[in-house]
Amino acid sequence: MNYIRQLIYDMRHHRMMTWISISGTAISIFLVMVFFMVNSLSTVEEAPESRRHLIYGAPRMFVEVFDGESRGKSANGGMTYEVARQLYENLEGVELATYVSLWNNPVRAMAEAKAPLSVNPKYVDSNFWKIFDFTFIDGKPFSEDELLITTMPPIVLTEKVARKIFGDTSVVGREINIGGIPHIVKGVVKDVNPILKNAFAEIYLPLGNSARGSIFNDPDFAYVGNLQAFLLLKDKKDVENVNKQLNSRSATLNSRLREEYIQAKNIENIMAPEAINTISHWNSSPNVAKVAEKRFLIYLLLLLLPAINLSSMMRGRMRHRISEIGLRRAYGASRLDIIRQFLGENLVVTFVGGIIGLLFSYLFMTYLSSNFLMFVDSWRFDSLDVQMATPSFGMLFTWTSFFIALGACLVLNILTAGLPAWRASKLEPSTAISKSTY
Amino acid sequence: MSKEWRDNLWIILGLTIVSLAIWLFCSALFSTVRYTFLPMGFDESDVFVVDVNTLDPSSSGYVDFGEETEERNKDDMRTLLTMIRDNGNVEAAGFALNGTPYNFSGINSGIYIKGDEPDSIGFRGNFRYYSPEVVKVLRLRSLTGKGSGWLYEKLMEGEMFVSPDPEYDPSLLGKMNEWGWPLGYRAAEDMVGKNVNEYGDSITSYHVADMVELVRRSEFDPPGGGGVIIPIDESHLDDIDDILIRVKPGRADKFREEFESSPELMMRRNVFLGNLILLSEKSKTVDRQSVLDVRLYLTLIGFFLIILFLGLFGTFWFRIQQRISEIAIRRVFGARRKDIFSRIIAEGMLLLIGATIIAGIIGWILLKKTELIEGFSTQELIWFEIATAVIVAVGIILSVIYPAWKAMQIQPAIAVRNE
Repeated sequence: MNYIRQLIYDMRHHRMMTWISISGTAISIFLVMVFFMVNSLSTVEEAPESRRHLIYGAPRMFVEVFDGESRGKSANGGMTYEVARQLYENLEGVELATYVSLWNNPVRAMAEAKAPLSVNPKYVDSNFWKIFDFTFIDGKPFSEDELLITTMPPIVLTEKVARKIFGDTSVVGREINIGGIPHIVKGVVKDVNPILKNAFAEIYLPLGNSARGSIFNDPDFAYVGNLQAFLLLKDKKDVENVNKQLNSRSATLNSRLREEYIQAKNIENIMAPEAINTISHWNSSPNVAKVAEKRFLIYLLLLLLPAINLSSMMRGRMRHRISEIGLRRAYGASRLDIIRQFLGENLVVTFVGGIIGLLFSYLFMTYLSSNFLMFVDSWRFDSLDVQMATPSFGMLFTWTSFFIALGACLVLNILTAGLPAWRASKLEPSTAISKSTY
Repeated sequence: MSKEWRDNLWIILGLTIVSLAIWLFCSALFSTVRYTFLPMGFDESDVFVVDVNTLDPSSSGYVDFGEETEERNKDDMRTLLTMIRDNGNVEAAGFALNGTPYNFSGINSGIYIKGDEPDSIGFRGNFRYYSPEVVKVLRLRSLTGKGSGWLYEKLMEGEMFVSPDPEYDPSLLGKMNEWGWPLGYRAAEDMVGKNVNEYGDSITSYHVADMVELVRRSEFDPPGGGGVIIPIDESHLDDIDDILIRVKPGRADKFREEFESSPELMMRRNVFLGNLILLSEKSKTVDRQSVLDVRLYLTLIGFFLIILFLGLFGTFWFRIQQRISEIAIRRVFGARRKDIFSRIIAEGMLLLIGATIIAGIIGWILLKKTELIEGFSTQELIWFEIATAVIVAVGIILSVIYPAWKAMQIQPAIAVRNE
């Protein structure tokens, strides 16, 4: 109790310094938490990506031609439907596989002679609706049998698009024109935050023939399409087993392609959501360990930077209390008591700063982050609305984030006050009282 | 200062880390903005782009004309283009293949002077295919002072233009890489007035009419070499990516409204036009990541400076309170207020020098040994170090100015009495 009274007195006596300590801590915790939250968005689980820890991706293929004339010719992209099925269909340990378009340029949607609306599409198969848990407000998803319908193909809209185009969300059975082709509305789903980029779209179109083939006219690249695969694993432990099967299937595929002097790369392993996010070069494998190393360095920098700067101020503050330390030591306080006192006092300041920093980080991420950060890939979504998406509060507020903030506060406290408190505790009572040195 | 060596060492450590962080972000900032100073090579104001599509044969609305389908589709495309040109709001409309700013990819190929060996060293650049009207739509700029009418005529006559590479390095000419490929190539001006062939095509030759400013992909992207502009006519209408439309000043909204309310302007049998978007709107999505990066780096530098400010301010505040009697005695012995002030500022600057030297050495090792930031010359790295020192110096001055001012105000008699 006395400690608290003493702390309050000291805080009031050095009001400006108290505010400086709190502000410095708040900035540090704010930066740490923003950095943590940005990283955690690649694994956060929220509908329709509630089972993210079990949904692994196979987002790419790289094809190289190695015959005499075209040596060095290569193409990047997704897969054709045929290649995707060869590689990912009926794998042991996989509950379901879905094939989804990778690049999606905005298309024009129009109905009932109203002005057209530019919307972000996604071409999906029927398993897509089973792997990702969408909430249907009206109607239902399209089935496997409906994928190849060419006259009035089915379409699923999001709530927002349905409202904008029809002024209503109960629109099943109504006609909508997408890029010049009439479709029939089969279902309406709740809007998806673009940050959940594997499931996000504004309209969902059936994976018909035109979306299944190659994206190149060049016969050498007949296997490069616009599809990525998502696999819902039965258990996370199955990753290794699935990768083993994939290695064998990619070897089989390559032995067939070899006859055409083609080699397919980057298809051997499936990737966890956090690994997909670390792909920096389309042709090279993501290096999760290296990214984690860089991330650790950034955390360290964000904590060390304020800690060292605040620590030198802390040393100055200690000097003002040398005689107090001497007296306490003279009346029997142990070195540990002194360390405990100063760490404890600083911890209160750190927690106050930490709470402010944490609150600001939530507010920043929810309302201001789109002015500084982009959570979707610009190459994937050529639309300003989508690029400006911000995470919802539910995506950010997790117990992990809370404990990270708590941990960061403790580390910061030790870094800031640990050394000055340790040095102060070393003072002999007589020296301290006479203020001769410190 | 020597009495407080422990404190000063601690401050230097703090300053070093701040300097390193700022140096790193200065480099990242420069790396992002380094190409924004180059000219764009086109005028994007009042220019719309609309992508051109053809229905898939499996679509229900597809009309199959048998062997004539391709020609019929081209006719329909031509009709749509004519309707756009005839719109009262439109100044000019042309079409492009791999040439729409903010959209094209790099097709880096080369041309060599006709009559030379097919593998002789020529000029390399990104190939852009434009109909002659694109000269007026994008307002391409001649580097030799020719007017846009002249450029238009030349493309109409089937001649081509070259654009110099802003990063052209003549010293590479004649050098080979480890596989025996030439590293350098000829300057753009060497090609003007010559008849040339594209590598791999010894039959089709073009006359290079002029040099035009390089049409860049976006404000932040590196130029990626020089450029070659090749004319295309309406026989290529089935290959094109986009139609580019320049509207009359102030007519953009009206044109968009008319376009979007006229289904006959958007679709004709198998051919349909996609999203109509202003180039200035497109630039916002394409450049957004870089714009945000710049904003983020500047904000982080700001945050680091605030942290530095808070730490230094607090430290000097306590330091001055510690030294009250010393300052008072100095004042009694004739030190002026200005001397006290300058002394404290000088202390901060001495600390900065120490930190800058240490940060310079550590930063140098970090930047050279790791892959944190790549692609900078020694001179550039030194400039970043200088910029960092200036930024940190401003931070130090701002941090110590108030404590120094307070020290200046100390009345000797009161100070000594309080002690």
